[in-house]
Amino acid sequence: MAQNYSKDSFDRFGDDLCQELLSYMAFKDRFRCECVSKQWQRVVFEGQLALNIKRELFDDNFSQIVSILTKCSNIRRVYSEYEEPVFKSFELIFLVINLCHHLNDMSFIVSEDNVHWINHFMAKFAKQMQCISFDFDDKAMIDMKHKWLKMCVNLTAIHIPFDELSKSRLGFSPRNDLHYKRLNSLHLTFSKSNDNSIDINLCAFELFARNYGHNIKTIGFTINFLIDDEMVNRLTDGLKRMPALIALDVKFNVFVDYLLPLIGLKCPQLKALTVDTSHLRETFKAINQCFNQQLKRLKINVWDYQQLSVDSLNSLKRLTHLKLFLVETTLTGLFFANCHHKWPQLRYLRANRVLITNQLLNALSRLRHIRHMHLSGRPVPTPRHGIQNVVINCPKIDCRLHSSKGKEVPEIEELFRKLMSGQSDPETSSSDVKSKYFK
Amino acid sequence: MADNADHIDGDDNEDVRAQQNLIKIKLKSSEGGIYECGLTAAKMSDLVKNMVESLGTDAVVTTEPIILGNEAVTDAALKKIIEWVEFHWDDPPVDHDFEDEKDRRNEELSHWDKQFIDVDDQALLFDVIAAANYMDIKGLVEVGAKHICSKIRGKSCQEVREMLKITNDFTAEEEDAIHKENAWIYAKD
Repeated sequence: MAQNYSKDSFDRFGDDLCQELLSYMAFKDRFRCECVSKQWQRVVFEGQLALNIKRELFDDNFSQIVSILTKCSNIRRVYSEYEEPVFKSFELIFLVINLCHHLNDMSFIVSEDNVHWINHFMAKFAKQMQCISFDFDDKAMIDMKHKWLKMCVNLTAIHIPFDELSKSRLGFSPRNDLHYKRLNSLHLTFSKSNDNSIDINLCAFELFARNYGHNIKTIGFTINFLIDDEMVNRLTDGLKRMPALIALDVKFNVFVDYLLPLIGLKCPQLKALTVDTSHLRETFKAINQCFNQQLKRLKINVWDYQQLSVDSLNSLKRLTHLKLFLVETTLTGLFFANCHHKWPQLRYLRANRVLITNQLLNALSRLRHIRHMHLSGRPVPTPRHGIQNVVINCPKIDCRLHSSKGKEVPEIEELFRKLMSGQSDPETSSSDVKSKYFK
Repeated sequence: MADNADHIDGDDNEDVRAQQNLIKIKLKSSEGGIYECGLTAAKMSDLVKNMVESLGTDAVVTTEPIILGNEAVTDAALKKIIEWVEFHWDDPPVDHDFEDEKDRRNEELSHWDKQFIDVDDQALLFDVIAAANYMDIKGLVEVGAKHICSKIRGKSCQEVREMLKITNDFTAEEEDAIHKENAWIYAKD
């Protein structure tokens, strides 16, 4: 078969490989390339598994979106990054019901206009849904949500307000049977509520931990309201009863002092922690004091300014992935000093707002396992010695140093390219760097 | 306690993999060229891995080379493939425990991979991809795929055809009809 084609022609590839090769294409490129050849037309849409709903996909008679949904027949997930109004429309739900067959992940903004069609949607898709979420314009319709959730018995992830836990099948189990047998992820949002309902919902959470604890791998908390010590205690006791729990994701819109330390002390099974907070120092302190050796992955998003000191983040012997996204605070060489002792297993580092100096790069180049290092911030001016050390000490590293706007710095790129391909940098003498840092 | 055990296992594995890679096995291209490759690196190919496992490591090391009979496995392609696996054999394994591993699919190619796969000779590039597919080296097929998809980005059908030497088997009318259906993508570009 392959002999018929010239070796430098893409036509030599069979459909399976062709589909695999084209599966990384950008959404619009697929449509642009549909008419390259009949083979491309057959396979180019197969790998499109998610659809981000935007206004531009809709025209007046919906023919565009019909064409898109028909062509991309493998769509699993329909979502809207910026919650565009079209996402609420009952027409979209109607079209999804008629044109999608493999859907398993969708969110809804429920309104009087579309509630009828969501009922239809559930009749077709409830059993295959893995992930679903509902927002409401009208709070009177909240009971509908629990009716729908009950139908989706194969969900793997559920997002609900903590207040509604007792109303859901998660905290209600007459015969100790699991309603959602595949559930492995729960996300709870805490908002202001009256004191009576807190106790009922805490009991529901305890019941949930007892029944589902063995399967749960990921827990998420979004905290919009100050929760008291008693509640923190009972919640963390619940987490303690989840032996499979690997990842915890906490977003503090209101910071709760005791939560992280108690989680660290009670949940040695946790391996990944993500924290969204304005309290960077308190978060580091909790991690330093209470999480010490268990964490493999740590991701911190901070949206407030706090000065850091050298011991901001102490030793984490098993840490392999560290991601830091800061808004105001600048990370300097001090933060990364001695990193090869503090985080000896680190292989993935991503951080923004970094003051990229020779000193910082020299410190990082001593991480024995580092493979990915994506830093953005201020490279001052071109840290030639540091870059050389990174290349010499970590020949397999993928290192990107960007300006604070996320743009590549041409001079740095060029230097990397040169050094990686074995050439030396004319402006520094490499032998002198080697003797100093490389043993 | 279980945690400690898996940690020690992990380190052991690393050493075992490093030691095994000192063992060299021979791979034979479809053109007859014979090339040496570290055992751990060669086992990144599921095809080779299965052969080694069914024949036994000792047999593979002491006897005949492993024959890669697909015509895409030319001498030049096999050399490139060995270069790739010898660079990547100690990549940390994918840890399915963590959800963010799925993001790897969306990540850009590393600098090294980008340089490695940016081959001017398109026949060789396609041989490498087809041979990696035949040898079942998923990571390398992914590198090839991402490279091609990034070269296609933003290009018109005609440009893609010319670049990848694809024969257009649509009639002009068919092509027009498809263009019309997809006209929306040009609206805001």
